[in-house]
Amino acid sequence: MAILFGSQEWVDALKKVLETSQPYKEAAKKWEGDLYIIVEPDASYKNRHVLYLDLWHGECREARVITDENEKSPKYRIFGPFTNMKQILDKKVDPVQSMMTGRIKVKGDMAQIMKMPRAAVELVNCMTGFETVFPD
Amino acid sequence: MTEVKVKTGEELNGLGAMLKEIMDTNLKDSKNYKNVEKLKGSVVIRESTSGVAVTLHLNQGKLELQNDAIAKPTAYMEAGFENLAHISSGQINPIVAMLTGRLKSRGNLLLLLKISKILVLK
Repeated sequence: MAILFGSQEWVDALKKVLETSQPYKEAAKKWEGDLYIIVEPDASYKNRHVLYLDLWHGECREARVITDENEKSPKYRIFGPFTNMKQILDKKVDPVQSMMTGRIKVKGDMAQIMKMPRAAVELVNCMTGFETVFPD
Repeated sequence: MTEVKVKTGEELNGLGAMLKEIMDTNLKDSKNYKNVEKLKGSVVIRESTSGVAVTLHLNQGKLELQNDAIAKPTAYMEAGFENLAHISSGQINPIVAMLTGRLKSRGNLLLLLKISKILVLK
């Protein structure tokens, strides 16, 4: 069953996939740091979504929708316009390519990402590990 | 404190933004800056999977990044995202990466070796 992007059910589903993905666990076994996934409004979608993931040594300790962006001070912020995020989740564009071109941006401790690039890739793979339906 | 400048009017692509952050971090250490302050030339750095490139211009202490590859750089390097990340994080020695084909390079290899002092996080 497809799950609505941006909903608590969606982040719960992502948490479940992260908890069972061996490639993610292996790649992120030294990963320390929480993050916001921020979906910014664009011409095709007017809402803003902020999703919070607390990732620690291959585990997902918390996953939830955030209503007040000041609630947390995560180590990383991954952000981009809705259309670009949707293309990644639809597997129409490669996440690395999106990051390199700047269509999706990452702010935070780059040293850790550089040490564990596969963790970032596997995190995105987990996001595409279940069927997502997008809001109109 | 020396920082890598961005070409006027440009917003760096993702590769450039990442490299700038690494270089700015390294340049906070004056020893690293001393290693590059006398260098002159241009280096194209390309991520091979996406084809995204940036050019780093070095002009006796001034460092500037611009999007895309210029036509005739002094040196050129190219690697996939994971290999670039492993090199930048110091997990793979740049020379080993060159010798094993994980990093493709051409032009002035000595310049590449010298700028590795600011492209590789300690």
